[in-house]
Amino acid sequence: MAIDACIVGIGTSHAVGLELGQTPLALQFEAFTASLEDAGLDKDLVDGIITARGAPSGVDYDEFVVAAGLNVRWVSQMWSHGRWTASALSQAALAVSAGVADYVAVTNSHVSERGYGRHLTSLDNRLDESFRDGGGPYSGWAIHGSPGAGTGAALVTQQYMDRYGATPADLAAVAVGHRLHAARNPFALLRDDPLTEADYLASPEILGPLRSPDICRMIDGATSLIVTTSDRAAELDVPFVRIAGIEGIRASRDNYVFFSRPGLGSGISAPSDYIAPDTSPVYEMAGVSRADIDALYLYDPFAHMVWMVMERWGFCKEGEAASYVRERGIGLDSPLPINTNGGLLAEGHLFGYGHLIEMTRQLRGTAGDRQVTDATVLQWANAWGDSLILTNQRG
Amino acid sequence: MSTKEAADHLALIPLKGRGRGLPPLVHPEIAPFWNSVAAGRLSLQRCKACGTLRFPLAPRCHTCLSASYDWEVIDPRGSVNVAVLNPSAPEGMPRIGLEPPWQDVTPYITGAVDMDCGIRLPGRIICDCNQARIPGTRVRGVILETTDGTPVYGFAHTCVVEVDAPA
Ligand SMILES: [Zn+2]
Ligand SMILES: [Zn+2]
Repeated sequence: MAIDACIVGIGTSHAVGLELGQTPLALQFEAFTASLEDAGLDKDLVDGIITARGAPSGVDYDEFVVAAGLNVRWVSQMWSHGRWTASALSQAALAVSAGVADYVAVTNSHVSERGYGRHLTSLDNRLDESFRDGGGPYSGWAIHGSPGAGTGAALVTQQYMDRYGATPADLAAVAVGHRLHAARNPFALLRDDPLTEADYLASPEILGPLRSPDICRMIDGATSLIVTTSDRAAELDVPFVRIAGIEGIRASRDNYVFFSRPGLGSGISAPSDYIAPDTSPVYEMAGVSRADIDALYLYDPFAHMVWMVMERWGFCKEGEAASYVRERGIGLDSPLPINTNGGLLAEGHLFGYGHLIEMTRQLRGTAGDRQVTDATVLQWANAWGDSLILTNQRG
Repeated sequence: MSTKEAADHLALIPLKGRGRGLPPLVHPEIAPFWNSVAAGRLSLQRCKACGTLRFPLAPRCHTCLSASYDWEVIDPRGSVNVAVLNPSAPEGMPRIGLEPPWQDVTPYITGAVDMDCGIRLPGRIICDCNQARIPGTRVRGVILETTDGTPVYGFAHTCVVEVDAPA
């Protein structure tokens, strides 16, 4: 089955932050209605919904269907994680391509424990996957003092620095680059919070080698994207943006850790040399090559993820991403602009959906000061193998 | 503090005053692992069908899917795979990234150790000289305290315990 799917509507909550004072449901309504208005679509036409975040800090699909008076015939709900961004959009693409739904809303909200979540006692539940007997997916080992994501990311970053000699100044270039993007994004959480390499190096290490600018903050916010077939998209007054390629998450005992590309020997996996494939299913499906990618978007809750993804997908050789990013940057003037919205690190943690909305804007040519010149083929890619290719070119 | 103790080569050496971390969630299937730690030994599951030694703890063998296994005491010595320092909060800054009780345990080193039996285990690494932050440094298993008193295993460097005690 060929993929036939377009993004026809994008929307966010009016802002992101910790003081929005709105429930996840209220935020999700803002994003959902914005995406309907963007598409020029009546809500009664939405017959599919995907939620990846869900309760308690988001909204389960059924709660939203009831609240919004929807009547859907296809539903998917995934686990509460930013890992599912590509999978969620892929499912929407597959659903409309197969005809099990005509218009799918990929709709998510989230409130932080330090945001509206402080009013929601259900968020006090400390059940944590890092209590798994073997530890969690991040190398999260709660009982050993590496609970959850932050220390897991710190361990991978340390492994990379130990093995390849990457420096704090190399890592600084990631956070500095994201802040420069955010300064051009009026929606970004840290738009007015510039960061220099000197600022970065003057801030203390707080989790292993990670400093505050390397760690994104959980915030309140919501996103929505509407996906439909190209024929239906043509009936709407929106620029053409197509989901041209999809590729799934890979997982094995040797590819276990959330915050690492294969080969570093993170978590329980064995270390090995890593050579990126020359091509990948996502490129084949889209009929493009790595050299065609005009900008790269990736899940960046922690700064080192830029290194992981560039090497996983072969934009740099093993061990070379750190110095590459320091020398060439990730800006609009670099060979490969990355996370032009400012990413999770500086736009805010929207689980990757903020990136997909940015990619859509770039392909529509409506990204303002941060427009990538002649953006035609953009890739979302992650260290654990999931990817999307979006394009404004017809197949 | 340097409390070098001679011990038999399979013993986890108890350490006091190194901070109380989170206790493990002990449930019946994995209780033998934690009972073994409390008794001063590290034990892992070895498949009776194909002989694979495994971690994470699991009801079946990841190689042959057999449900039949024995608990086997392993050598508590190994080499640091990766270690990070989680420092105390800088003066005047909130301690982000760590929940209680870990923010009260800082500064501490945590990471993973490649055990001599070929399995990698996570754990805190007790070291007063910082050398254990370097991959490859030899360490051995110890017993650490937790907030509810359940003992948890960890590792320690030669600056704290005798790593290669004679058998
Ligand atoms: Zn077996
Ligand atoms: Zn030491």
